[in-house]
Parts: sequence; structure tokens; C-alpha cells
Amino acid sequence: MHIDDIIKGCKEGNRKCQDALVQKFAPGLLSLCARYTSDRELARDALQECFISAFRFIGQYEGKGSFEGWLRRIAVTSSIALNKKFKQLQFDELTEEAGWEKAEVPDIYDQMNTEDIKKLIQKLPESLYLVFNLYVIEGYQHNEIAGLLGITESTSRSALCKARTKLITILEQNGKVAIALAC
Amino acid sequence: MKYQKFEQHIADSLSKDTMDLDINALIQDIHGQKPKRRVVGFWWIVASAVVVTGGLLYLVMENSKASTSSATSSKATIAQSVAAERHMGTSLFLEKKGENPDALQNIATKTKVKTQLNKLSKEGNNYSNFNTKSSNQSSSKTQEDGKVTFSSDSKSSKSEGPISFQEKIETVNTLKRASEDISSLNVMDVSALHSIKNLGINPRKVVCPDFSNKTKFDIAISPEVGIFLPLKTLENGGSEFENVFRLRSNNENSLEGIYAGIYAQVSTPKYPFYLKTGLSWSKMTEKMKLDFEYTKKDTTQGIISITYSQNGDTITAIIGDIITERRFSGSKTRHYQFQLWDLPIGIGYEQSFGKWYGSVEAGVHVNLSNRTSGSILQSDTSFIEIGKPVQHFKTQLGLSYFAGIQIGRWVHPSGRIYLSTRFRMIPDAFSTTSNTVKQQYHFLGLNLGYSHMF
Repeated sequence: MHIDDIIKGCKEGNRKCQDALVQKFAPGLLSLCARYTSDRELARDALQECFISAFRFIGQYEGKGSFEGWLRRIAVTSSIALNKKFKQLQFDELTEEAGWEKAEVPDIYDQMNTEDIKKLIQKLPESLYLVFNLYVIEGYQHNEIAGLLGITESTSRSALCKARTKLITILEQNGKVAIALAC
Repeated sequence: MKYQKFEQHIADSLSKDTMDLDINALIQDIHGQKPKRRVVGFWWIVASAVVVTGGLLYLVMENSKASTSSATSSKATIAQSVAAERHMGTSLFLEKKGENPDALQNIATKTKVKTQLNKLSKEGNNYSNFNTKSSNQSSSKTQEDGKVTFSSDSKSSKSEGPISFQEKIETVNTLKRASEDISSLNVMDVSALHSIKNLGINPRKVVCPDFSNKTKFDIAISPEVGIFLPLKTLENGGSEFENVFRLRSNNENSLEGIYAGIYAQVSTPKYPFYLKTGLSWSKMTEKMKLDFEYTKKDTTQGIISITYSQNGDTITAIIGDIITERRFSGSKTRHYQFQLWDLPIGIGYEQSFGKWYGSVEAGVHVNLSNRTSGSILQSDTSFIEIGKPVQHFKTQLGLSYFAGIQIGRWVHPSGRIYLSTRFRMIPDAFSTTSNTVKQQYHFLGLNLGYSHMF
């Protein structure tokens, strides 16, 4: 079934189309939810909330932009809402550091698999992890992140900058560890 | 590689990432269609309880209705007598009914006799010397007219003023007629009885006033709410799960349970015992905080060394295992809940102390269902959703026993409030055989209720 037919059916409340939508997007969205929640169980709850909200508000989707992107945004919102830790996050106003732009990353990291990437970015502090995910992976703009997390745009920018710098630091440390282990 | 390219690689990898899950279960949850658990005999028990309670209610209502109707009939009888006294004397009434005027005349005469006798009792025996002749004339005149005219009766009965001579004559006449009527009662024609029946007065259905309390049962409906303290015991069933058992024993806490119930209580006025049954719901929560810390090692292939020759024309990269050691620590708090539906059946003894009363009771709870939800500790570091992959707890607990005391006070003639404390012993473990930790509970509760008597 084509995605347009599925969306049309969902708008009409067709159960089969709703099920088809779940089957098509659930595995990808579960991975997304898992990145914003503390465990798989909570991720599944967030996914369920995501689909319930999607079926409820699918009438508001006017076909502008990617449907998957629309769905992913609902999933992000559901996950963040369920993760109570995110509500207590402290965002520090930091001075932007632009050093990351010139940073070189060893080519071997280009072949890094998904699990390793997840583990890598999980090393970031939670507030930086959250902004990094939203901006880099989900493609949110800073004003959108600010609206979602209740922070200012400049806080979002500085958090992203700090996240990138921190990530480079982690990469460098990994390199040193690797060299030390080899010796 | 530039950092931006690396970031792009992260975005591409993670945005395409997927995770396996049970999609059918998810679909069912989304549509709110949890798998139905068919409880054997559940609806039979509920239906039986409803039928028994309904039957008792009907019985009691019938009894009270009978008492009420007898009282009403008595009232009606009295009212009819009064009405007869007031209206039977009017010719208009007789004509309208069109029934045997003779029979009615007899009744009216009797009524009049009563009224006049009352009057006479006030006057004493001063009228015994009146002229019988004049009374005969008056009587015959009345009979000649062919009409029964007792219109003066009500007036005369209400009149409290001095009695005129004419009235005195009439009284004597009446007395004479009364003696005639009484003698005629013995030879009253059967048709006269039919006439009475046609008036709507069936002698067979006349109910005499009865002020005795014949109600066999008293019934009360008692809604109540309360809290209870779950007294939990855990027992380790397998040595391989020693850590889980130890952690649960130390860190898993039972929170206060909440309870609601509605009871129908039946008792008899003769005995101080009562029988009660109803439906009760209890919910309790277990809370567990887990602090965990563990180290994880990952091995990946990567560049572990790069060497340059002295003249710079040779670069040697050594690829080998990169071992990353990471320490995870954190804290998780999870809850799981039990929801119990029960059919309590109990017997009690009640003693009144003026407006106060006290009772002791005991009985059984037939567990109708035990529902569980939430997450339970699975290993040193993780929780698992209850019921997956194995059923951790039973869905029915069978019989349990309770005993308690109750103190209450009447707040109005048909209602009373009470406070009760109850201990419930549940012999069956909540855990199934597939759950290695045997889990058992007893409840100690405090309840507040209102009992409405019917």
C-alpha cells in the first residue's frame, strides 16, 4: 500500500491503514524513541503515545513536507514528554567555541557502525546529548529546539557547540586510549 | 575527514536505524485491545451475587410493602368508616350509586346509631321519658316519603349547642330504629351483602389494623473506602536468582493500598447476627529503587599506531583491536501494581450501645481477578515488564479469609457511619511457579463506611 493511500485511510479512520502505518514506521520510530528515553520499555510507551497522537491529529497533516518527518517529530515530543529526566535538565549559557569546525576526524570513524555511534554520543552530558540529537539527527532548528525544551535560542546554539566540542574531545581521548592500548 | 562529514555520517546512520519489536502487540495496545483473559466462572459468580442480593432486596421490600399496605388498608378502613359516617346519610349519594337503598339504609342507620349514641352518652339518661307516640309519627312520616333522609346527621353530630326538643324526639326515634335494625341484621338478605360488594367494600378483603412488626429481614447497603497495609513476604525459590531476591528484599517497598467496596447486609431483628456480601476492589503498589553500576568492554578494529619514517616517505599504520572500557552507573525507580476484585462473604455479630454500636465479623473473600501491571526487577541492572515473557503473578488467588471489628454510630434513623479495621489472610502466593521469588501478602486495613438501612 502506498504511503499516500495509507495516510488517506488513516484520515478516514480506517483500521487497516492505521495498522499498515504502524507496521511501516514502528521499527524506525522505536529506535528514535529509544534515543530519547532511558530504556526500551519507556521507548515503547513513547512509541505507542506517538501513534495514538498521530491518529488523532493526522487530519492536521496537509501533505506539506515529509510525512515521516512529521511522524518523527511527534515521536520526539512523546519521548521527551515521557522522559522525566529531561524536565530537570540544566542548560548552561556557554561561550560559543568554533574550534570544532576545523577539527579533523580519522577516516576510520567513517566506518563506525550504528551501535558504536549511539554509544559514542551517549557519552555526551544529557543536556548536550539532547540538543545534539535534535539538531543533527532530527534536523530541528534552534528556535524549534528552544520552543520544545523551554530554553532560549542562544542556549540551544551554545549547547550544540559545546556538544560538538565535547564529541571531538571524546574522539581524541578514544584515539589516545587506543594508542595506549596498542603500546 | 572533516568533522562535518563525520556528523553527517552520524545523522545518516541514526536516522535510518531501526529496532525490532512485536508490532502486533503494539497495534493491539494502540487500539486499546489488550488480550482478553477469560476467567472461568467469573460471570457466573457475579451473576449469582447479583441474583442473591436482588432476591434478598425483593424479599425485604415485599415484607415492608405488606406492612405498609396493611397500615394503609387500616387507614383506608377508618377513612371509609368516617366517609360513610359523613356521606351515607345523604339521599343524593344513594341515588347516584343506584344500589339497594334498603341495605344502605341499614348501614346508614347503624352509622347514625353510633353518632346518636355518642351524643346520648353526653346527655345521660335524661331522655328516657319521652313520648313514644310522637316518635312513631315521625318515623312513619319518614318511611312514607320513600326516601332516606339523614341529612341532619352530620350537622347534629358536629353541633355542640343545647339540644332542641325536636332533636331529642329524633334521638329516641333513632334508638328505636336502631333496635329494629339490629334485630333485622340477623335476617339480612344475601342481596344486601352483594350490594356492599358492589360499593367496592369486599368484606373478605377488609384488613384490620395491625401494628405488630412482622418484617423478617433488615437489609442494609454499605459502601466503604479504606486504606490497607500490605504485609509482604518474599521467599527465594532458586539459587541462581539470589541477587534479584536480595535486591528485591532490600529495596522493594510496598506502598499503602487503597480499597473500595460495596456490601449488602442482611439481618433479622430477632438475632444480633448478620450476613454480608458484596464486591470489593483493592489496589496496591510496589516501588523499587535500583542503584546500579557495571563496567562494559567493547572491542572494535581501528588504527592503533601511525609511524612515520625519518625521511617522511613512509607512513605505517597499525590496525588492531581498540578496547573501550566503559562504566555505567545510575539509578532507576520502577513500580508495579496489583488490582484485586473480590467477592466477600461474611458473618458478623452486632451489639448496640445507644446511638453507638460495635460488631465483630469474619468471612471469606472469593478472588475474582488479580491484575498486575508495571515493571519488576529481572536482573541486577534491569527491569522487565510484568507478564513478559512469563506470567509473574497469578490472575486469580482463590479463597482468602478476613476478620475484623467495626465501630459505628447512627447519624439518622436509617443511616449510620462506621469505622472498621480488618485483617485479611491470603494463603495463596501471588507469584506463579515460573516466578522464582515466591511472593505472599496479608492485608491490614482501616475502612470508613456508610450503612443505609432499608
